[in-house]
Amino acid sequence: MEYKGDNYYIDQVIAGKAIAYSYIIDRHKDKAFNLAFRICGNREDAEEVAQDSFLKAYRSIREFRMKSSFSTWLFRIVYNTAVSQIRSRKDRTNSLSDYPSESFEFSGINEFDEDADREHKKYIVNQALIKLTSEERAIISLYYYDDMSIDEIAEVTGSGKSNIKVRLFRARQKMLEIIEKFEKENSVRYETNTRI
Amino acid sequence: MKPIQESDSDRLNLFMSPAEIETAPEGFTDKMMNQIRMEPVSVHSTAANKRSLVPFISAGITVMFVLIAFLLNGTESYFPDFKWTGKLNKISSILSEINLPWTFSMSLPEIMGYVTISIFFLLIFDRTLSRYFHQET
Repeated sequence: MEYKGDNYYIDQVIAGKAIAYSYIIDRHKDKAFNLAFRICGNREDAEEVAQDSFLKAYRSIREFRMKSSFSTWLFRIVYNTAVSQIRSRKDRTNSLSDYPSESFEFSGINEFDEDADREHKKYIVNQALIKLTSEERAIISLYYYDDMSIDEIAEVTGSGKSNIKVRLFRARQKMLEIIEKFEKENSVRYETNTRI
Repeated sequence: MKPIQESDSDRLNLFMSPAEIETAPEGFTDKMMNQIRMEPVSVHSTAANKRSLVPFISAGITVMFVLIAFLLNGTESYFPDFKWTGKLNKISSILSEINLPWTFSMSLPEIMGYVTISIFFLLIFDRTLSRYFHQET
């Protein structure tokens, strides 16, 4: 069935047809989940955050002004929910690091897999993301995975545009450094393997 | 959507692109809809109705304050000389002459100044507390 646009389904939900919300969920679930996953670092927490966010959005759907796009509004909810979840967890565990590297899920490298290269890239990205703060991870995720502009990211995170530019630049630098380090290590390992 | 030149020559695009996103688990929509069906819809509409009353309540309070300000303005008659405004002028002059012994012999209009300032500070205090507790929840 052809998707009739967010505003159409929002009007239906406000009119009392809760079922219309399923179309909105279907449309946005992957991107919302991806953002939650990039911030939280594991699928379980990401699912919880995504569910909470869709529920919050449903409860306050009447407050959605339609000035910005629904996805930007939803992402703001996902971002706030995920960041506050990480903060509360940090308070509970009294952890110094923003996110412990061990808990970040990633797919292992399978050399016999057809998508080995893709999986390898995924692995490197996840290793690099661990080194960033939750806010930086969110900015990177919104910029690269959701193809958002600086203005849109500023709207989602509630920060100023110049602040986003600076943080994006720093996060990008950090990630590139880590990726380069990984690639160097891998090429050394590859060379030693071929010599043997 | 970001401008095309921004995404050019960026090495990270090789590693992260919209096609590489983590997808939601299977059955996510159904699970969500089950939760949403359990949501009490009436509560939301009542809350929304209450919220829509806010501007009217605010307007009512403002009109009330304006009336009080006219009524407590002192001995001068601010209301034009019509039959029905004569009573208002009378009330105004009576109220301005009231002296309350427990308020250091201040007249009612003088007290109103302090009351207004107190209300203003209480309002700020209330907003601060409300914001704090709202964030907590």
